[in-house]
Amino acid sequence: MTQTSQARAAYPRYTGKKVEPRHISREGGRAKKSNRRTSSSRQSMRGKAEKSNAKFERADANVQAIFSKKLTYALLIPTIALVFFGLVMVFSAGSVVGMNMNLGSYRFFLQQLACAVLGALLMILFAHFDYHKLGKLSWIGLILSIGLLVAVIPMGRAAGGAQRWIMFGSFNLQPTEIAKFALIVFAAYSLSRKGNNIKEFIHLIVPVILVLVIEAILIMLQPDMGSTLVIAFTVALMIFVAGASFKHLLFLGIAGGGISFGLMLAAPYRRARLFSFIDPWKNPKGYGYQVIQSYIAMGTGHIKGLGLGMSRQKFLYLPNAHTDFIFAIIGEELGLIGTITVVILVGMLGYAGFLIARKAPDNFGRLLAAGITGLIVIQALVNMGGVTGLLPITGVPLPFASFGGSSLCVCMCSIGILLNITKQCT
Amino acid sequence: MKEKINRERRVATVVVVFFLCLAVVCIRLVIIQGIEARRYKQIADKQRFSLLTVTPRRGTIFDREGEILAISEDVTTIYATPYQVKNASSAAKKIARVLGEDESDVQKKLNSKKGFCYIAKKVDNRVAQKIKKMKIEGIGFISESKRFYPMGKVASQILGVVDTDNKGQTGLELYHESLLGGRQGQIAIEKDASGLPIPGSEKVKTYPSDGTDVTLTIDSEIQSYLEKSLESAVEEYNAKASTGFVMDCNTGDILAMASYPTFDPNERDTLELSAMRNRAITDVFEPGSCLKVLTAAAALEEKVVTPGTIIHVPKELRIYDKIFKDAVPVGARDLPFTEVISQSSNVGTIEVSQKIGSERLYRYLNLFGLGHKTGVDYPGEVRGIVPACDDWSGTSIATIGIGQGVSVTALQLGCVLGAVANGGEKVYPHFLKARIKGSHMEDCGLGGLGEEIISEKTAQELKLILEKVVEPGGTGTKARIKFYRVGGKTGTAEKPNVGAPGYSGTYMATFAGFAPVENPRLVTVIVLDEPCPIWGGSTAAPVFSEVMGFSLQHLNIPPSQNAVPVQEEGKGSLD
Repeated sequence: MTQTSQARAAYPRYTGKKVEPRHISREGGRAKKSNRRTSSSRQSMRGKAEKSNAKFERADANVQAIFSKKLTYALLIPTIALVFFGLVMVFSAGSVVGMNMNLGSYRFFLQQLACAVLGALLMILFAHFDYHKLGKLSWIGLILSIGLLVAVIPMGRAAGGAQRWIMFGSFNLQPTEIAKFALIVFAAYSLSRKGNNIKEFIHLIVPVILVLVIEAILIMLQPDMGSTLVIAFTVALMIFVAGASFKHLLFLGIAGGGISFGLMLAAPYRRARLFSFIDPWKNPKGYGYQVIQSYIAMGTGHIKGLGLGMSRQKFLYLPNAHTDFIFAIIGEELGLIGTITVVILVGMLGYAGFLIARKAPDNFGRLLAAGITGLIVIQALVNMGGVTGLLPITGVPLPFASFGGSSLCVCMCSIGILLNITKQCT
Repeated sequence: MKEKINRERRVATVVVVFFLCLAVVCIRLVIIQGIEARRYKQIADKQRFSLLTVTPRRGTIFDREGEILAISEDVTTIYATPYQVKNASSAAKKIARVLGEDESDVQKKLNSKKGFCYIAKKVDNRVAQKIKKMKIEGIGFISESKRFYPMGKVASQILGVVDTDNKGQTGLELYHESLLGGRQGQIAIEKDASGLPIPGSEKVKTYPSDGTDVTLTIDSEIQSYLEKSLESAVEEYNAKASTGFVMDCNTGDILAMASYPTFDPNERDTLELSAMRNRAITDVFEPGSCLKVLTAAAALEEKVVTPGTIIHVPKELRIYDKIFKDAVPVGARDLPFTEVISQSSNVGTIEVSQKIGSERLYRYLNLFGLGHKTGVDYPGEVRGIVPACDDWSGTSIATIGIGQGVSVTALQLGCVLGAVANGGEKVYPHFLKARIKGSHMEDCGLGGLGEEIISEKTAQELKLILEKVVEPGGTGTKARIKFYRVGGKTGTAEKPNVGAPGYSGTYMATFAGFAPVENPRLVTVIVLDEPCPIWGGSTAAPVFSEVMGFSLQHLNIPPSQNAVPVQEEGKGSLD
């Protein structure tokens, strides 16, 4: 008996007995229903599970409780820390940007703070919402988000050269953030139901890759190359974790790489960004400007940083200081200590997330956890890579920290889901 | 089961790749923030720090009556950061309308590729305020100060001008720069990317201290009268230029000093160097007969002659290879010394100067300050040329005695007259009267009277001789003034060639005089460059009369009791 089947056998809802570990709330019950419906393989294990005795169950439940508690902290600490980092930095950098846009110096901070509160509520909500239900709902989410992506094209509000926002009163919604999330949930649900069919190419393509391509096209219409790459990488990661064959992965990788390279060369501004990535110093006042200003910010910060609020680069030198380049401002104000701390927090979050994926009670949970974690850490890596000049600049926010309500709320929902999976972990 | 392990391995692979990526980011961070940090910091400092100089308020210049001659106004310079200007054409339209400039010119500036360009320099604050209110993005303002001369041309050569940084460039603005200019303050600021200072980043390195307000000895009414007279003289006598000044012979206060052509310091675009020269101080000329005053002073002081001494004046006098004649040669005659001077007889004066001797004459030239700077507080004063006694040729005693072979400035000549007029004491001319400290004036102690050159008796005798110059039979009758007794001396000197020996055949006409004779107060010198007629007595003397007459009345100087009323002029007297 493997560890997994043992644990699954010990899981109270399969025993039919009253023993319920205190930390497992009613979601456990709900999960049971959906599990039964979705996973046929589990039905066969049920018999074995019923043979286990109650004492073993209790001990196992304790271990699981401790494990779950640790994972919860491992998730929550970096999340809260990153949100906190973000709030402080948005306060610092956003004050200057806000003043310059005649919005007042507190505007961005207060907006971000409101979103953080909303995000925290959503996180709690999702932590108590059985993730198995998300699978069923993923179709609706997907269709809704695609609708939003279509809607943003004509009615979106232009900013930074792209149509990325939909205005709801004074609230700007970024549909891409929701679409990313919806796609991951859908992909996880879809892939988890494939079973061994995953080895067949057609099952990879339909529906996951197809949906990915549709969303990618819609996002590229904004255009937002960064988000497109992020969802492509995340889905690739999920397919990899789901067990797709290396041959198919290689094929998809080459195809995706070729397309994105072509797209990169197609638009002049993306080409410029590519060149700036290769050698920013060739044109420090032109396409190399942003990266160089980012270097300057981080270099000025040195080891200890200039101190909170003391950033100089935020004074219009570094464009998007409060959004895409918040990491550089962290580097300037808090130095190498600050940036390494952020990297460590991202590392903690990623490690915890992937550990949850490994320990997830079922295939859906595993893929969902991997996908969500992947989405967050890939965004973080792409952002940090861009800011440090390791990757071209793509306009991907730093999860939790960058200014942007949609991104912050979606990321915190994701953590809520991970927390819920943790609760159901084995 | 195998599948399960495989899947777990795949998650583990993802974790490993993830940590590798993070490690790369960390290495990159260490490179940027550790190893290369210094380099980026340097770039940051270069693009951000700048030293701002705070220009102190420049001191105001008043005339002796408290009229403002030069003052600094607060103005605004408008500049643009072209790439920040969103809609260049509409911005240009708005700005051009307020400034009254051509729209396309402004638009051209706004469309330029530069990161900075001036839209308008030193604009009136009210105009700038209108543009400020428009809140056009990319348009910036610099507070500056601009020198303004409320009286325009009046005293322009004395005051001089300032450069765009408000530093004195010429004239008193230059000479008293340390007083007027104050001390610049320096503030280190950090700029944001648009060039505006980052709030709270200012660090004062040195505090500015404002310039001192000063009062000049100039009387702006006499000054403007003198200027008008000089201008009309140039027109009337078709002269090339003219210069002159009025000085208080008892204090050295220069009440007015002007030259024509002149200029308006408020119109900086059309400045002409020749018009900016303060010719009375910076230009030399051969004084000619005017210097006979000095010869006479030396002769009387050394008791070589008395005013009544009869001097035989032959028709001509031969000294070595040179023949000297009077300006209008007449036959041999006997003249008292007084008339030698009043009729400006060259031959008679030469005979007297030969009696004085070269060494004594040279000593008096020096005593009266010829060949030396007067020490007036004005930049670019020239000392004139007085050949050293040892270098004198055989004819020098003759030529120098009648004012040839030496060169002087009008101011030096005025100082000679001044010393005679005030009873024999050397005059030190000056422009700066007082510093204004708060509500009280602090005398600067410049100028005034110095050592005694000739005795009071000699001075008194000479004054009466010089009064004869303007009386009928003298050369300067046109210099007379109603109700005042006047003394003075005419001069008509041939101009030497520039850069070549010999004379050019053109003349400088001079009249230097003082009034009232019984208690002299003012000395006035008028010099006309190439007038027609050439004679000082017929061209410079009338100008002197006008200017001196006005000045005496303006200063409420009591008329002389026994002044001879001016009679209608007969035939113009000659030099």
